[in-house]
Parts: sequence; C-alpha cells; structure tokens
Amino acid sequence: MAAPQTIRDTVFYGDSAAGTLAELAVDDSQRLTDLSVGAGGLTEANSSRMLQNTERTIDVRFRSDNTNAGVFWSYGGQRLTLTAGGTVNLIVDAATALAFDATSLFSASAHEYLLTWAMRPATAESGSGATAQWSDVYIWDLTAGTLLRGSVQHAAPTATLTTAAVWAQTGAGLNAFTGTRLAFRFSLAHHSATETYEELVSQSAPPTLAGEERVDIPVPPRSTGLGDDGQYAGPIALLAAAATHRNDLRLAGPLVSKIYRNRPTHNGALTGDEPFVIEDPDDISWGGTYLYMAYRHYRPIPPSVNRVKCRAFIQQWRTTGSADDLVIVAYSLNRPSFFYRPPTSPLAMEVWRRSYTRNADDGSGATGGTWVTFDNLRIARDLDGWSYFALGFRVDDAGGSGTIADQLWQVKAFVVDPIYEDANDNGLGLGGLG
Amino acid sequence: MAKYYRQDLRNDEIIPRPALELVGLRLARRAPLVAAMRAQDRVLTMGRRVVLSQGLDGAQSWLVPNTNPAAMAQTHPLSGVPRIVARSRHTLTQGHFLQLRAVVGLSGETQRAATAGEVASGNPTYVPDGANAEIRVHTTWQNTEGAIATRSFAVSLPPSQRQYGAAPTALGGQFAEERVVKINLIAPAGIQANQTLRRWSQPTVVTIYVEHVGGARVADLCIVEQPWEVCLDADDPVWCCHMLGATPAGTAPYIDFPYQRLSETSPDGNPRGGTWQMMDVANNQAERLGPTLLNWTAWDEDDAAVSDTDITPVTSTSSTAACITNSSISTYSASQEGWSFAAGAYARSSRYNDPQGMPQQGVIPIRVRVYGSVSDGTTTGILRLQTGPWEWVEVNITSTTAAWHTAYGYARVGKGPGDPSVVQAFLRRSAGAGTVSLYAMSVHHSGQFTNAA
Repeated sequence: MAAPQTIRDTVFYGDSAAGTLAELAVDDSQRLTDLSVGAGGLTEANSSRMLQNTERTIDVRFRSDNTNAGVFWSYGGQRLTLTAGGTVNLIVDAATALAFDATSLFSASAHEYLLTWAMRPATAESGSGATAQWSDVYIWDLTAGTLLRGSVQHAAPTATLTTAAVWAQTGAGLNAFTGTRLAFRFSLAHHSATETYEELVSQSAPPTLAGEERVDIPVPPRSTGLGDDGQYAGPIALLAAAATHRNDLRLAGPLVSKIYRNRPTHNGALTGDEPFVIEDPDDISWGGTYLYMAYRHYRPIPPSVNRVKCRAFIQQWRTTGSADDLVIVAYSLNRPSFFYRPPTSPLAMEVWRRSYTRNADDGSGATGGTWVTFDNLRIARDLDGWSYFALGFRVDDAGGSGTIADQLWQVKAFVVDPIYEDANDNGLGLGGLG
Repeated sequence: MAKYYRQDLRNDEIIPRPALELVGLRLARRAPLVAAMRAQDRVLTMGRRVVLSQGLDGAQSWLVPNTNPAAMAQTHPLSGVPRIVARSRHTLTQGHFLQLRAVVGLSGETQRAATAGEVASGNPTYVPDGANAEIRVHTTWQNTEGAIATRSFAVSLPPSQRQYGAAPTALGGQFAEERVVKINLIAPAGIQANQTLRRWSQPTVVTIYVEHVGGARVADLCIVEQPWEVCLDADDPVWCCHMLGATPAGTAPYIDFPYQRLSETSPDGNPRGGTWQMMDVANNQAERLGPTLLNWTAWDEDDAAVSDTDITPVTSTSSTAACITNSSISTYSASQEGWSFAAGAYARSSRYNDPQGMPQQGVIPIRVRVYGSVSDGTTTGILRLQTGPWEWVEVNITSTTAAWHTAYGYARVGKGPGDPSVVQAFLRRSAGAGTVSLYAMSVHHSGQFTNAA
C-alpha cells in the first residue's frame, strides 16, 4: 500500500489503528494540516480544501456490524453516512442523491470495510443542471474480500465555504459514527476502484512485461498560464516533445481479441476439420502441424510495433487413455496460408512461429481449460504492413494408453497484443529489433 | 470566413519522428523547438485501430451449404437478400477514415422462390439463383456540430465454380480457393474539399453495420482506421495535431522567435507555431487518442439459419448474471476465457494512474456501447463489462427497439502486454419479466468529454 503522504492529490489523510480521534486528526498528507479534535468528531472551520463541488474522492475505512451507523463526513448540506444495517447515503444539498443498499455485506459479526464516494463532472454523460455530476460509490467488505458498487447522477453541490466535519456531523459529536474509526482520506480527483484499492488496501506485485512500457508525460494545460507571454517557451517544448515521444503506441490496441462463438471439438486425427486445416510445409521442425482457418485473423500492424504477445485459452481432454502432448503453435504469416499468395503479399513467404506444449486433462466441462502464453512472436508483414495471425496444432504421442485420435481439444479464446521490444544493445542506443 | 489548415497523414515519412527529449538547462534553439511541434503530428500517423471484426470465429462450416439449391424448402440464402452480421459504434480518430479487408472463400449458391408457373412445370419450391455474393458496409457519421452523413459501400465476392457452388471438402481444400478483398476507403462523400474534410475532422462518432449478401463465405473480415488527411479551421476547438506543415494557402510558416501562437487575431488567426498549440495538442492527444479495445458480435456462422436477416442475439431472462460467451460462468474470473485489454496500458494517463499510488497497475477511461433491446417497456437489462476484480462498467439496456446504449467508466489494463488482462461480459435482467437481447458491443478509450452521440 502506498504511503498516503506520497499521493499527490490527497489533501487530508488521517488514520488510527485504535480509532482514537486524536490520532485520526493528524494529517499524514503533504498538507500536514491537522483537523481540530472535538468531543465527538473532527472539524476544520472554513475548510477550503474540502470545498470541492466538481471533482473529489472521499475514502473511509472502518469496522462495523449491522447495528453501527453515523456520519462519516459532513460539509454544509453534503454528507456521507451509514444507516444501521448497511445502507450508504450520499447526501447532496440536504437531499439523498443515492441510498445505496449494501446490506448484504453487513451482519451481526463486525467486519472491516472501505467505503469510497468518488465524484466527477458528468461531461461524458452529457450531464447538466440536475445531472451535472456523476458519483460512484464503492464499498469493500475487506474481511470477506467482496465489493459492491453503485452510481448516480445529480446536480453540482452548492459551493459555500463552511466547516467540514469528519466522523460526525459536528465536532460535538452529533450523529457520530458508532463503529470503529480507522482512516479517512479526502482527495481532489475522481478515483477508480482499482486506484482506491491499490492505494489504501494492497498494491499489486510488479508484473513481467513482454515489451517496453509506456508512461505518459503530462503537459500542463493552457489554463495554467505556463505557455503565456512572459514565461519560458523551452520547458513547454521539452514537455511536449517528451510526451510525443511516448505517444507512439497510444493508438495501438489489441490486434486480435476473440472469445470464439463456435467451439468445435478437435481431435488428433483431424476428423471433421479437414477442409479448414492445412499442413505446415516445414517438415523438419513443424511437420504434422496444421494451421486452422477458424483461428486465423488478418490485421494491420501499427508502425511502432515490432513484436506481438499471443495468448490462447485451450481446453483439452481425452475420449480414452492418457493425455498426449498437444503442441499449440502461434503463427504470423505474410500471406493467408502457406500456398495462396494474394496481390497484397510479396513473392517470398515469411512465416514466424512460437509453440507451447501442454500435456493435461481439463475434463470436458463447460468451464475447463487454461490460458497458454507464448513467447514474443516476430511479425511477418505483407506489402501493406498487415499480417495474418493464426493458431496451429499437432498431437505428439506421449507414450501412454490410447491414440492421438483420442486427444481432444477446444479453443475458447485467442488474443494478440502489440508490443515494442527493444534490442539488447548494452546501452548503445542502436534502436529496436527489426 | 473560414481559414483552413490541412495535412496529409498518409505519407508519414515527411513528418519527423517524435523528437528525443530536449535537454534542460540549455538555451532553447529554434530547430529543436520547431521539430517538437512538427513531431506532434506523427502520433496520428500511428493509428491502425480495429473497429469491427467478424468471421468464422471458430466455426468450421459455412452458413451456405454445398447441397443442391433446387429444393422444396429454403436451404440456401436468398439471392440478393442481405443478413446483418456485425455492428460497431466508436469515436473516430481525428484525421482517420476506414477501410475493410476480408479473407473469403468462393461464394456459394443462392435460391429464389419458384414462380407459380415454374412449380406447375414440376420445379421444386425453391430454385437456384446463382452463386452471387457481396459484403456491404453501411456507415453513419455524426459530429459534435450535429452534421450527419450516411454512406454505403459494397464489394462483390468471387463465386465458386463447383457444382451447387460447393466449397472444397478435401484436406486443406478451403485454403486453395480463398481470396482477399478490400474496400480501400470508407468515408463520407466529398472529403477532397476542405470544408467537407474539416467537417469530419471534428469529433465524430461512426456507426457501422456489415451485411453478407447471398452466398457469401467470409472467413475473416475487419474494418480498421487508417490515417488519411486532417483539415481544421483556425477557430476549431479540438486539434489533435499541430499542423505546422504546409497549408492550402502556402508553405509552412517560419518560426522566428517563441510565440504563444503565430497570429492572435480572432477569428481566423493562426493557432499554430507556439506554446499554446503545443499544450493544447498534447492535452487533446492525452484525452482523445487511445485504442479501440473490443468489438464483439453475437453472429454465429455455424448456427445461423439461411433465412436469417439479422444477428441472433444473446438473451437473458434471469436476474442472475451470466457470461455472454459462456453461460456456465456467472462471476468474474481471470482464470477463465476472456478478451484482452492489455494494450490499453499504452494509453495510460498520469491523471488516472498516480505513479506513487498505483505503480504496478493501470486504468484508462473507456466508453462501452452495446446494441441491445428489451422485449417490453417494464423490462430492463444490464450488461456488465468487467476488466478486473474491482473494475467494471455497467450499461443499462432499456429500449424496446434494438439500439445503441452507452456508459462511461474505467478499465483495468495493467502495465502492458505480459501483465495479463482478462475481460468478461455478463448479461442479466434487472427489472420486469421480459427478455433482454444483446447483439453487439464496442469498447474504446474515451477521455472525459462529451461525445457527439
């Protein structure tokens, strides 16, 4: 979990393992501005940092059973409350914008919860007037590991500077929350549920990426005035150049992303597949492997992509006997198959392969199978910069009982993601792979 | 009076590659600053987004059979009768239009209903009417100014010469008789003119549906965006490229010293060549440029009937959610089948991904559009697109006539390919006692701005 003082849009963060108001009032954000401790709640008079009527996120972590209730946050006519039993209330200008039913998460046994109210302008929904704002509510039962979510459109809250109260409606403790208070955060941006969970519950482990990562360089908007007369032009140009440099893959989406509607059962004897499969002519390494038309897709390759990452969801089982080796091949070709050459393909055939061998029995149930991930695959391009991606299969006898004809499988999904893989040039900067 | 700026995005060799970072703590010089402006235009030349795809999708038999079309019942598609096989709706990348490519088998036979005279003469009820076939594409373009244009395109498919228009049945036979067909440019009419091109360089939503006609046997079809040309007026609000190159009126301007913009006259000034345009273009690219992530159709080549004229939808009459691709799956699981949004990580913005708060994760804003309907006015449905354990977008389906429904939210995309992304969609009935029907779905990156529709 990230340390709250490192999160740039956090303007208040207070926590306490024991739930004491004095600890909860201490601001661990970069503002370092504590709240005032009252008899039953925390307050901040004329709270400008919580005067946010367009975009903000409020996070509350607490422990509760189905009898606890109270106010988590109050700002004039706005409140975030919990009704005993598990109804979360988003109150805007003294009216309930959303009474979210989270009762299924609450019981007589106290659990730990994380509740979020994230609000943003409803421009994406063409909202205005009574629907100008969009609010999301997320509530995790952290003890059970479940999440409920809801949303509502409402008018923008009235922006009037006033006293903010946390953990109660007033510092004196009116409608104070009766459960255990653990943490409260106020942020100046709308957060996704993923971001909330990563920042306040548990951060994901670093993944192993298939190619180069792209992280944007934010450029200040014109409204900041940093590009106006009297400012330096160089920094804006530097930021814009850096941002452009990292945007080369911005438009690159999945080249193939298929969950197949049809799932014929294949077997090692090709029974029923015959017209739609063609044998790989490379006898030395790939003899006996068949490319399947049902899983072949013709796609354009963005100029900044030099490799692809293929995955397939395969289910395999037997009619009888022990499992044989199912060799699964991911292809990239510059023509539709090994023989026909359309005018868009060059004279010379180019084909690249990656294989994965799996010996398993997933059973024939409707939810059996697993993801198979291939090593990075080179791309064979035709004259227009397109490529044909396909799956091929071969069954190798593993020596057990039964025959290769008894080996069955289905293909449920096939995805091909674009990547840029840099050359290992030991820092010479010679550029990417061909 | 309009003042246009126009740039060709097809020949990307004339646009410099994105400049390496300018070096800090040094005097700014003209050449690298101008290069940075010109390089902003290269981003648009990288687009090849797949906005619609359709085909066998796992099937190993064609809708169009190999049997004798002279029959007592309809056994083949009727000649010239279209069947809708895919739908899509997305926000167009500025400066892009579309093209179609398909790998097809040779077309099969069609039928027509025999005339009374033919039947009286001893013919069966249905008679052969030729191995004719087409792919048709119907488009509707709508921009933020309210302009609407519709245009349709078609490509004829080569026929099978075999008896009854049969497809090959021998081992590998299908591969020996396939062809690649194209529709090179799918765009509104008249884009050669500045005024028209400018109209469709505004934020535009494109609605597409594709038909197979007659004996079409389509193995794999896709419609993709291709960089074309962009034209903007000096006072247009959304520029996703700098356009510092030549204009219709003359050569590229000479930047002699740092500007906010070359001309601050309003209207009809010159917005290019300064810090304001660099900032605006960079921010517009961050908010408006991103991948298409998914296009799905319920069309099933294997199970469709020869008499079908539209997609047979996936339906729900239950309040319990079921995965639309596998009804045995009722809750999200990354260990089950799914689509991939991993490439969406290339479009992550620091606005939604705090580098300290979520260094090992990634989300992007998306728009989910579903084409669906409900059977009566008291029934509603929900399509949930789930991209991670905590991240999903729900689209309400409320129309009794099949229509597009839309919702905005976030997608969990991780950090890039290699960080697996598994995406699933679940359909359920949320109210009433009727049926919820789902025909198609489109998902793409979308920042927080109002779309044309």
